[in-house]
Amino acid sequence: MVKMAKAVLLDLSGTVHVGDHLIPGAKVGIQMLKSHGIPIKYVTNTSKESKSCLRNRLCNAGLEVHENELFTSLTAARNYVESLKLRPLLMLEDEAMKDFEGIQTEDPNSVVVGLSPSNFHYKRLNEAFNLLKNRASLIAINKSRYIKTDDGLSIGTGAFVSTLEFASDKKAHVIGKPSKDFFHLALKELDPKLQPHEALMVGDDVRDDVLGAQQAGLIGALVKTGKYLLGDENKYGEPNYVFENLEEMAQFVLGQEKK
Amino acid sequence: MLELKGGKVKGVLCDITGVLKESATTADGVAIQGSIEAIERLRKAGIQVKYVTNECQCTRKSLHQKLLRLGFSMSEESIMPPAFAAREVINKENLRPHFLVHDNVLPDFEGIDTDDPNCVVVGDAVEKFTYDNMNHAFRLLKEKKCKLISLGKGKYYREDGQLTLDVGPFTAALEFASDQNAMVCGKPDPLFFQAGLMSLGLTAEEVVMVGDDIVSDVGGAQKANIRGVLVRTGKFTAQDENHPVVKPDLIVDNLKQLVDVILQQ
Repeated sequence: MVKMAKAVLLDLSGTVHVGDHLIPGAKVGIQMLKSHGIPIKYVTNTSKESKSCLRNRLCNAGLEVHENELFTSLTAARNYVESLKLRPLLMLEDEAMKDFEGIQTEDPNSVVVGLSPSNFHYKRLNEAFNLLKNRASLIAINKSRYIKTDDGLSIGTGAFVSTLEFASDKKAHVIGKPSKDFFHLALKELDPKLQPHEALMVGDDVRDDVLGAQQAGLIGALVKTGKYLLGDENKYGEPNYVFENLEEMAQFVLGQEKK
Repeated sequence: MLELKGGKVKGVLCDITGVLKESATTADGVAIQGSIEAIERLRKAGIQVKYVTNECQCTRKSLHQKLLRLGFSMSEESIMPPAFAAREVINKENLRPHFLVHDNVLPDFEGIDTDDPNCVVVGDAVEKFTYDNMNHAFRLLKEKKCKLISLGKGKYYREDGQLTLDVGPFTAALEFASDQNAMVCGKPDPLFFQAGLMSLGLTAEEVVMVGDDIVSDVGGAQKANIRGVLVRTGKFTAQDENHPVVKPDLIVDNLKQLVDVILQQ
């Protein structure tokens, strides 16, 4: 028997938006939750752009978002690097580098990998590999297999993290979803008193969003947008709920209270 | 006193890069000291050699010519590169490949139908490993449900003195993203070693494999019940002396030292 959800964690890419466009039902669903006082937090593995870039993109698409509503794996990665006083080789796009300002990058002793097509070519990967072979540690901002983009499915950060893991025989420390720490840190930031089983995580990636959340003790809901493919709900574990879109999800959450 | 246990060696499966020669980006590379004479000594002793290589940055003919220019002597047919093993699979299973391989190996795939691909063949493509090319291959695997074939699955090799990424890490990327396992044509696949044995006309007990890659060469051979000897040239690093999984039947400084041991039997 699943406990009632008192707060909602929302994935962004593929759940709320794809590129510069909001997904149908997303705005309505989010507004429904907010107008009923349900606390929400956007928990995203996005590593191609900084928080401020991301916020601007969503606002331009028509969704009002405050920076403090965003919990990104990029900021969690920066906190991690800082806490361990690491000097990273940053495999990040220019727009994401802002979130790493002030971090020492000379004489790197670690490799930080985000979604960075401009870095995912032979020469640069070779550079990263040689550092790893020389005792550097490997940090993955996320390990997503693929994402939904405007022109279809596109190979994700996780594939290139696998490249480096396979070559160096080292396992990456994964910052973002499906890491348990990531979900717990997001909840703590939203409301330190919240228990995992009181939070509903909603996303389009059945493994990284839904299964990951369930393994961290949260309620996991799959939404059939973004990278969702027919049958995903039966392939990997069992989502607690499956929704067509965020509007349907909000109707469910608000409907719970009436029961 | 170095010793190789087991039956008398009548045939050798020999790796090329890291055993016969060190790789370089320019020219033909450099012959490893003692290797040319070692091959000659095996020939004079009537011990057959087949060259089981994962080399896929050039055609077999071109590789053969490089080795001749360096001073080695062997027939072109004694060289067994992964492209030839892949061709057999492609023909047998009626596959139409999309190639993500080095341009210089493409002539070894001439005549194969590549329209409307139903498989992706990935090799040591080096500079062609770009995000866009990887994404294109991924889409074929995920959306068109193409089969994935990898020409070898080595992690890295040594070139110009530096360790450099081999095809394996890129195959791993495509496997991870598309949720499927590649069929490996080349080392460390046991079928590749068995093809080597068939080509020699000898049993596993009569043969020894020598290479610089503890996993692909030594581990792969041992899985095919062939004795595996590791050399301390090529991509070898000190860590390989104590590999957590693979225990070579013998570790020698170089090919010359192995031939000394074989001829002492």
